[in-house]
Amino acid sequence: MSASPDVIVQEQAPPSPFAELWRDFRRNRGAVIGLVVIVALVLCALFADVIAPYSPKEQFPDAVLKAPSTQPIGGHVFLLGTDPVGRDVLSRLIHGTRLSLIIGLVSVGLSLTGGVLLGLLAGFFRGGVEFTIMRLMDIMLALPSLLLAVAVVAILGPGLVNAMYAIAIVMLPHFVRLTRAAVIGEMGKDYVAASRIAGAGTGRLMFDTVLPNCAAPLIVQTTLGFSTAILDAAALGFLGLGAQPPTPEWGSMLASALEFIQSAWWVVTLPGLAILVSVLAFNLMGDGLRDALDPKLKR
Amino acid sequence: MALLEVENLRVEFGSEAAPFKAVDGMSFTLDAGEVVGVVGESGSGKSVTALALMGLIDEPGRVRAQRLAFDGRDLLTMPVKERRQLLGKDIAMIFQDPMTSLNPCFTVAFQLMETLKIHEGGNQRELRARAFELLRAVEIPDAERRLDAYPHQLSGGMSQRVMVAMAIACNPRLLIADEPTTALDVTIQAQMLALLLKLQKERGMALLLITHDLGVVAEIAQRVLVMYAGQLVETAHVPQVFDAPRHPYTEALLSALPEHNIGQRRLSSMGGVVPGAYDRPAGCLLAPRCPYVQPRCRTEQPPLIGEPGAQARCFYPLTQSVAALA
Amino acid sequence: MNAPVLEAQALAKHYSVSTGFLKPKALARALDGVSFALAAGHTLAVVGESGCGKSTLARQLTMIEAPTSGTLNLNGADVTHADATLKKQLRQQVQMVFQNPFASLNPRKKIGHALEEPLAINTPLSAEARTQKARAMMARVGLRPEHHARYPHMFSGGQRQRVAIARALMLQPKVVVLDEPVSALDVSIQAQVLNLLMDLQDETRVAYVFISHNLAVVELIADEVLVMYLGKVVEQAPKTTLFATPRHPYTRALLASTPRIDASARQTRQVLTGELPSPLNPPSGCAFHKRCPFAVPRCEAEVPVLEALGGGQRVACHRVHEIG
Repeated sequence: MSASPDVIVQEQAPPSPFAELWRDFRRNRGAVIGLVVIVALVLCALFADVIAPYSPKEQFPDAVLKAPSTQPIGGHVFLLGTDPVGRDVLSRLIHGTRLSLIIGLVSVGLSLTGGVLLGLLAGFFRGGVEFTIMRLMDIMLALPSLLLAVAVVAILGPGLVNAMYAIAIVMLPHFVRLTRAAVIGEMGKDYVAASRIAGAGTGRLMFDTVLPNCAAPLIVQTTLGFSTAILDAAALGFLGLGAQPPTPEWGSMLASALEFIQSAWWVVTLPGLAILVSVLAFNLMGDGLRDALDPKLKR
Repeated sequence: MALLEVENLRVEFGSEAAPFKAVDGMSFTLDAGEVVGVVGESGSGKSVTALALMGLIDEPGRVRAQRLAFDGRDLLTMPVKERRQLLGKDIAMIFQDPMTSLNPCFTVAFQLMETLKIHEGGNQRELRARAFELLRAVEIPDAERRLDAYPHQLSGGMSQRVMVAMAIACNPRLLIADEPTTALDVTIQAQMLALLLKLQKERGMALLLITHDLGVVAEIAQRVLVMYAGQLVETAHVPQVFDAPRHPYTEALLSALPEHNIGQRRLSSMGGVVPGAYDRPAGCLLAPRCPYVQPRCRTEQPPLIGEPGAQARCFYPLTQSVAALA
Repeated sequence: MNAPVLEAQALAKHYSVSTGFLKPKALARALDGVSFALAAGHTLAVVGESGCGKSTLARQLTMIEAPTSGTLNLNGADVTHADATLKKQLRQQVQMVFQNPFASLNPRKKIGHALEEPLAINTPLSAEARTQKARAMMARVGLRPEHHARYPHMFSGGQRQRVAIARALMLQPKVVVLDEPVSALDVSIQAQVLNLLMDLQDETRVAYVFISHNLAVVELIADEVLVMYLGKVVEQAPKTTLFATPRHPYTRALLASTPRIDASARQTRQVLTGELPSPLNPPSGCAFHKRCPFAVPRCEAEVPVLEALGGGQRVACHRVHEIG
């Protein structure tokens, strides 16, 4: 029979793409550790009000600049010490998690959306459109990223929200470049021509056909973008251009306590450690994702 | 003494408990100056056999054999250094896709001279002169200019000739060609086959030609080995195997060719597909698809039956010629 | 004969290619004057090697690109310079199956989605109706129901080609262009897929434009054959005539170069020397003259024109009557 089906064998349903991804991701121990830490951070952020022992804004006048200890002072225990104004460092760090994650989410979200759109336009339409977009991105990349962020904040005014916009703008060229390169790579392939011949218009081709195939490098850039965003927000906060006191943002906490680095190390070091751990966690997870998503590395 | 002796070659992947047998008990010999074709479809194990011979199967693949000898020397127990001296010099290989077999970053001259330098040595001038001679031997026009070309500047046919030049640089006794013409256009393919045959005759090389194209085998091979799902299912001399195949799979392959179905509206076709890793039958591997299957075939694995040089792995080898059955 | 469902007149496609910064652009005559008429239920085979223009022809016929000159008629209507709306309607009439089964399916979409996409774009059917039609087509080409929710990488080459054929037929087109559909497949799978194609043609009376370099397959499946070399048609004839009496030296060379099992069917091998020329730097006069065993000075000077020899056979060769 000409249209005979293949040998009838009871095949198990093959694993879904997510199951395959998880299986490859799990192999990288560093990546899994990163993921665990990020989940912990997310839980901290969600349940900050419940987990944190005190309010981040509450000042305890009789416990100013106290070292971390389990000994109560005036009836309160400050496990990680207090800052120059008498606020509990632990509570501020926990609430700061919320801010850092929001910064990451918003900046990266804005940057990703804008970057993907511009990248798709550049990759699809080529010619003048591509030229304009890419040269604009080149100009942005030519400026040192921190300087660019400072310039944007200077225009918009200091504050956490404006800092997030600034960070989003600074990250934009990376997403645009990545998307454009991936789109150009996919455009020449037969399946795109097949969809075109089936009658797909530009919109459907862009978002439904090509974009899902560009996802891998974008996913990785997104997780790495989180860590960049946190660092940039910390830098802006350090310069006094990001979060304003008394907001418990890790970078501003660092900035306002620099003078105490010798006398009260915990006020400076602990926020720094928090930044370090989060950035490391995102980087590890990003590395793991990239390895898991790269078909050439598949065993 | 045969140039190449292979006895019970097995190449396995996966766990020890339930391995995937890419090559399952392959045995054959090759004499000096002989042209032997290895024929099979995807999943037959023909390319894996060649890679195993060259020692190119990496972990986690496991290569085992009762005997694997080249010119009387045991390849299995040979120290790695000695084996590396053998490869490229006495045994050479050319691959299917000429566009990816050459290093895109270096000129043709550099790659040819590298091979020569490793095995034979000599100063730059001597090496370049030899490289030029090699390009002439493979009939590349305008050889002087092509020496300094980069692979991306060459067409598919040219690149394949450069590959052949690299392979014959040290006058190998055995040349293994893995689908050398599959990626080439028809007229270029004919040139390449003529070239391989000419070089083989001139240099007394043995040629092991791996291909899925039965026509190519019919035209240049003296003997043929037919593989199916990792096993050798038939060995025979060339004109005979096409007139009177003894294994049902060989017969099915021949009758599925468009060339044998001219004038008919439909091609005769064997249903089903080659068994993969998870659905290997208990008895004969062809049993689920074989039109002549008998109860015994489903439970017992057939051995190779027949005289040396004309064997088939079948309990009931075919005895009539294809023409009589048509 | 019924009115042809697809008709091409002197189709040509030239690309201007940049040869480097500040250098003038070169003109690649990828397609130069191709004409044919294809009736419903018939198969036109286009034969040629790399650079002959068959892929360009496929792009013209499926209206991915507009030709530089010449006309294309679909069901009697001129579609050469169709605008976007007309093209959208016409898409339903002409579909394509690609050569590489591993690249022609979207790796991120399930098979069901790939089959339903043409319906989603072009018809007002509901999601359920689309799925029903997709499943019906899957059964027709020999795929199992559970394959509907699987991704392409889980299938073999032969199965993917079945999916590609199913997808091409979803809109019930009048013409399907097949670009080397079985070249990447094993012999036994090739036989299955060719049988499927012929069954479907008998059932639906769809016309095929079958591009292939494999003359053995062409001899089986074609009704008429077009032999191309460097963008031009060098010989055009009904299948039986072409294989019985090939008149152009290139056609003969192709036939002689095809490896054959049956020793008596092999023609004396006169191996063709030289390489396929590049479309950017075509030889003067007849493009084949540098490799032709019968070339004379006229061949280098003058481009030969397609000449009708009777019985539907046309050949472009100055010496066609002398070679015999």
